[in-house]
Amino acid sequence: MGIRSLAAHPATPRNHVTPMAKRTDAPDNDDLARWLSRVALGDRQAFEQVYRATSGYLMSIAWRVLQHRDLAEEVLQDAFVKVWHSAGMYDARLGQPMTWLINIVRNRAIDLRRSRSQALVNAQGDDDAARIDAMAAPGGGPEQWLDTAIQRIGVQECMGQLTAAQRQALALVYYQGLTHVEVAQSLEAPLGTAKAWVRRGLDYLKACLQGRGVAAS
Amino acid sequence: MNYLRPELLDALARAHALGTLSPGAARRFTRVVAGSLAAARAVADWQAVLQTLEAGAPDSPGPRPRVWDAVQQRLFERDAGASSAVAAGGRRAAGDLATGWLRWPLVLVAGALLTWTLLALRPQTFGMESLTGSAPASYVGVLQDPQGHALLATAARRQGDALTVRLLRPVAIEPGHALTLWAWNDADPTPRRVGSWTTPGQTSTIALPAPAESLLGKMTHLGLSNEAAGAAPASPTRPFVAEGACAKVW
Repeated sequence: MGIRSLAAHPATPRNHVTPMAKRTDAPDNDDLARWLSRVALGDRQAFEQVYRATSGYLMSIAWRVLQHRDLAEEVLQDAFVKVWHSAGMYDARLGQPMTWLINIVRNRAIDLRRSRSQALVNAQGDDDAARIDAMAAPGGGPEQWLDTAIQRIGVQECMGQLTAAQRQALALVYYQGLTHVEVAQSLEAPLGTAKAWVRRGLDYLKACLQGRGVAAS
Repeated sequence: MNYLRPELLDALARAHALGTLSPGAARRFTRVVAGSLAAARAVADWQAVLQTLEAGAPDSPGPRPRVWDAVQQRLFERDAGASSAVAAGGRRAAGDLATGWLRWPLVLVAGALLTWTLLALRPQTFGMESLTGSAPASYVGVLQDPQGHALLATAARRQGDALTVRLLRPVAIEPGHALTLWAWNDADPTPRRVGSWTTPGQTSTIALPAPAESLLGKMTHLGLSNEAAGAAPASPTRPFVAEGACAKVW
């Protein structure tokens, strides 16, 4: 397959990057599945389409875990290298392509977060400003993100049965990749209790989704 | 430990999807997921549940153009010798990563030695096979299109209940259709259906209804056709897009 000049393409990612990645811009899964099948065969144009369609969304996931723009971009870079090499491993029977991509990015972000000191993750600079903006904005912070998600997927009543601590623990683990130990320290709770909070929170969420018939993927 | 016990599998899949397994447990369970469709489905179910939480997550700064440049450089321009700020950042991060790991050098070295010893002496402990022995007894096939191009490779362990298929060239799966593999032999040239798949990826795994030995033991030829999905016809209704030999490797 010939090598195509990406620079010559009228809609290359370099022209596409926007100041803020909008969460509502999740791409069409059918398109993604088709492009990934081409990427598995070494199609660079399809790879570019996957990047163009998902990089903003995926960047927000890495940024949320790491709270640091450079590190989030590093994760995104690693993730897309992995996508190129392992697109053939994507199995449509097991879920939507966006779920597959999100997990590649989230896992890499969590790995990086845990491999570095908290001081590095919370490095000073532009990213602190961005973090403060995010926290101060309406709906900013893990607990608020969880509340927003619960409202948007329509399981408020069901998830309302969770205690504040259970919701807080679940939000910290999912959105920021904290370990159970970190959650326990953060919430000043015994480790076993923190684990139980997270487990119950997830079990509730799954049951709520199944009870409401909300498609999980 | 039987990882596939339903309660244990669900708990492990939940923790794996969430990212709360310890590194060692995560590595072990990753191996289980790779070898078990049930485990892979359990993880995928939890990943789909977790993805609903993305509905509330915030916007962020978008990636800068240098990220895409660095991806291309790493994948396609490695020999060009050019560098970018992000690539340099990546190297720095790798250094930091190494520093982090070096906190536990003795633990790692001891773990690696133990693992190596077990792998060398008892590879079956990890569900693996000895690297010094011959390849496992398998049925393999390479199917060619009418132009003589290799189109599909297949492999199944002799007593295995799954067949791995790998497309070597793009094959269009028509809407509502599935790629279907057939097998026959010279004495009985009626093709018998082996399995179908609709996954567009390069590599797929087909669950076999019986061990490969009983399905392929007497077969000498393989064929590939595009059949209506879910129809499971007893014989091919469409012409073969590729054919090849079915060989025993043992």
